[in-house]
Amino acid sequence: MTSTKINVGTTADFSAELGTCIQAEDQQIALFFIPNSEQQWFAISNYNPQNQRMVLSRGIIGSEDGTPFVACPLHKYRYALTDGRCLTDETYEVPTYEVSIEGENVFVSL
Amino acid sequence: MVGYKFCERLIEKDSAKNYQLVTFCEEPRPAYDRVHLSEYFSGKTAEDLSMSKLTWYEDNGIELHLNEKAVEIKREEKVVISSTGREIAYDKLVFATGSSPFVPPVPGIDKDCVCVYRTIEDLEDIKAAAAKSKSCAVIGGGLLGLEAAKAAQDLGLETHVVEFAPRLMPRQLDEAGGILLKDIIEERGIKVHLSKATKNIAGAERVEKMEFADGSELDVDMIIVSAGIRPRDEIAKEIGLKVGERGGIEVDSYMLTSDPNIFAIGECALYENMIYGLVAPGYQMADVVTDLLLGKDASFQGADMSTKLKLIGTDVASFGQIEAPEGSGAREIVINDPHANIYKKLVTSADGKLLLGGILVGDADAYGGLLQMYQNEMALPPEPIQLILPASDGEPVGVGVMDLPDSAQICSCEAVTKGTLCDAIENGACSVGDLKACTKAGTGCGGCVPLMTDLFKAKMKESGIEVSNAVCEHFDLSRSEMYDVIRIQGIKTFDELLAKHGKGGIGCEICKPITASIFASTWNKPILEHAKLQDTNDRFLANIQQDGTYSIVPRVPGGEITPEQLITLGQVAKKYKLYSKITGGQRIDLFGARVHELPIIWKELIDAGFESGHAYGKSLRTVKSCVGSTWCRYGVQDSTSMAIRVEKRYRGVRSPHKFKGGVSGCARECAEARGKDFGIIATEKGWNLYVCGNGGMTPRHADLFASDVDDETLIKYLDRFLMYYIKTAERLERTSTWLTKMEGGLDHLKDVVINDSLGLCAELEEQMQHLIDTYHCEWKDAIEDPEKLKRFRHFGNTNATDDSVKFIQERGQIRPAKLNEEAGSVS
Repeated sequence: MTSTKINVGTTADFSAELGTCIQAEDQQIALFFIPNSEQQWFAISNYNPQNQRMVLSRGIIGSEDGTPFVACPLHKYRYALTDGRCLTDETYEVPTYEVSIEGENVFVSL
Repeated sequence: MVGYKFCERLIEKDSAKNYQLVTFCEEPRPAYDRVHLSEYFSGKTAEDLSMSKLTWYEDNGIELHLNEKAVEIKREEKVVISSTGREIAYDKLVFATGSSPFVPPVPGIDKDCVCVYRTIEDLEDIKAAAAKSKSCAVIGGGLLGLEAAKAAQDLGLETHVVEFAPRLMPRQLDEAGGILLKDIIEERGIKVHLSKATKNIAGAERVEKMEFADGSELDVDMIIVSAGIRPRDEIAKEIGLKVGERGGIEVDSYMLTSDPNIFAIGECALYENMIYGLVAPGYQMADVVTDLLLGKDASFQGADMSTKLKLIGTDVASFGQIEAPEGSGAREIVINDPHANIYKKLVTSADGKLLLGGILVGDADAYGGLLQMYQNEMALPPEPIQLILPASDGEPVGVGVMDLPDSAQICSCEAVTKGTLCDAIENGACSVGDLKACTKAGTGCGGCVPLMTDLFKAKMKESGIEVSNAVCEHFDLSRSEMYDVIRIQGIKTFDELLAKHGKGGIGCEICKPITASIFASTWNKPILEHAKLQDTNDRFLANIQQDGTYSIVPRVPGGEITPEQLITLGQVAKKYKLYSKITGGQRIDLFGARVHELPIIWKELIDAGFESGHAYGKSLRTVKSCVGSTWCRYGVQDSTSMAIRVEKRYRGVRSPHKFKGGVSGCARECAEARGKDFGIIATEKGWNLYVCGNGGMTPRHADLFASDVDDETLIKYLDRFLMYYIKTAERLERTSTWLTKMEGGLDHLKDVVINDSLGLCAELEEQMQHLIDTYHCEWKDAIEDPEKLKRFRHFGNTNATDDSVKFIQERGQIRPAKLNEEAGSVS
């Protein structure tokens, strides 16, 4: 499987603990920067399968038993940023993407 | 009430439907709750007070004849004849005729504006008399008299209580308790006159003056007589049943009168020379008779006359013997602190092992436990005084609810024991409300609710469930505790709060918005400075809709809008293809804006003079108004101007939940103000302020809080009320729930806001003034700050727009496409 690495901006473009929606090819990806966490950079799909809307980047960041998550702004379903599991209802899951930082630049691998 | 209870119990027990019930009722409405009668003045309707709906009688096959008094009984033929001439044959007859107010035969007592206090019609008379009076005297300083005095004071009258005995509540209190109660009541502005026998009531047509036996006089405009009750035994007397010397139908322990087919229960019955003028014994009697009718063995053995009441904002309780009988060796333990307005007394047996009775004035928190100890004859601790000492830092002393035997009766009105309540909890009742619903405990006088709550919490704890107010896993604090910590310690960032008081982690969608809201209520910096704490609505200063687009609501204070403003809104809606709708709060909502469009649209609105309507925030929404005296032929005050003034005053104020106001220009209440968190209704003399109403999911009419106040007093009370709500409510708790859960309820709230009982008012006013002085339009702040504007984009890395949003045309406007609905869409 080949993966495409896309430059989505510089580290200065992303505010701490505020999600940002990124256009990568034809996909919408929600990118999060959490300085106070192990992994720091996270990327998941912007699409919430529970309500089928492109909204996850606009949710609030939090932690549940140490796992960082985003809570959907519409109905507050929590998705783990580490692996995309829905913590509120295990029937849902969102794709996650690898984020890499090279110098100032931020890359997402599709 | 007792008659109703009799019907209710019989219906419950008589599953075979052996009995057919016919009941006559002299009043125009079925039985209602007289215990809470005074609440009629604070806004409850006759229907609210009703024991059950009219349909209840029908549904249970009870033949109810309202407005129809039973006037004659033919015992030999076993027939009752009513005032309309209706004849009903009976097998068994139950007198539950209650009592009537005793009106002493004083010359002049028949003058205009002399009222009694028992029925809803009486209250109507009092209201009418009050409307043409400035001052009022209540004859009788007993329990009902003091309630009547409170009602008179609430109606805005200068109020006096005139008591024949040398102390207030002579049946429930001893001398020292009576003195303290008098002091407290006088502090609250009611004048108390003791040892006064009324000799004459002077005046031309209506009351003008009371003249007393000791030669003194009192000028008053109206009188409420509350000098005791007389059993309604007229018919019983006529048909030759045995009645007591001073009234009351004589009954034995089976509640049987001298006729074996006729029972008497409640206040009309005389058992062992005693009339039981309380609800609980009446209910017990109803229980006894219904058991007997169904062939079960039961008898009445007398009842405890213990009571706990809130009178004029003061706790008063007594139980058992209130004084050690002379020569009995019994002892008294007394705490009397006139500075703290507290008087407590325990009467113990000579050996100090048993509790025989007691009195509590000013603080009756210990009542529930003490009463249990007394009724169950539980052994007193070695130092009984500990039971009534004020709470100190140490372990609370007193009888824990878990120490009680299962047979202990927690609710005496409904005769519910601790065992029954525990069973209900074990079978799944998961709140005090549930417990009330499934056991009926706490639904009578409500005095046992604190004890029930304790029991509920203790049982929950026992099964490992802590009833905790902690907001989420990141803090052990409740919202109100977070508020105090932030304010007192001057905390200004979430990270600082989390470091000092958190439990690790990075917060969540619960504690972050709470903190942001408290920061706004306290420091009032622009909310986007805490963007990472804000939920989407506050982050984008708009209301998210189901498809991820947002709606826009500019402020329209009081619902007053110029044609130019309407045109601007129309032009903006047209230009950006927004769906337009009028809201329930008299403003206009524009739907279907995408994130990147919000600042552009708001730029146009602000240029045209609009400002943020805070429809997205937990904050003041609108103050709805009618046109008032400016246009309306019925209006008595300028409600629109007041609504605008109030809406502008509190715009932008953040709170635990959204809140709404309303101002009506007359009693017709076209602004529906009593469905709001605060409602202002014009009167001839000023404004009536109502608080804690709600529409929505759990409708509640707002309670009357202050009457006939002027503009400045109104604003002062509102400032304090709202700030106290902001300070103490829990997360997402509307004012109505907040009040329902508040210990002491409306009286407590009035005490805090009007009488400054907690010494908080200066701080509350100062804090509100700070919020008003630092008001800013959040949208103006946002569009003037390039850093903040950067966040209003759908994508962080391109200027493309979100192509997942689709609209459908319907009735000439857009609406979001349903999932999988693509045809006819316009994006």
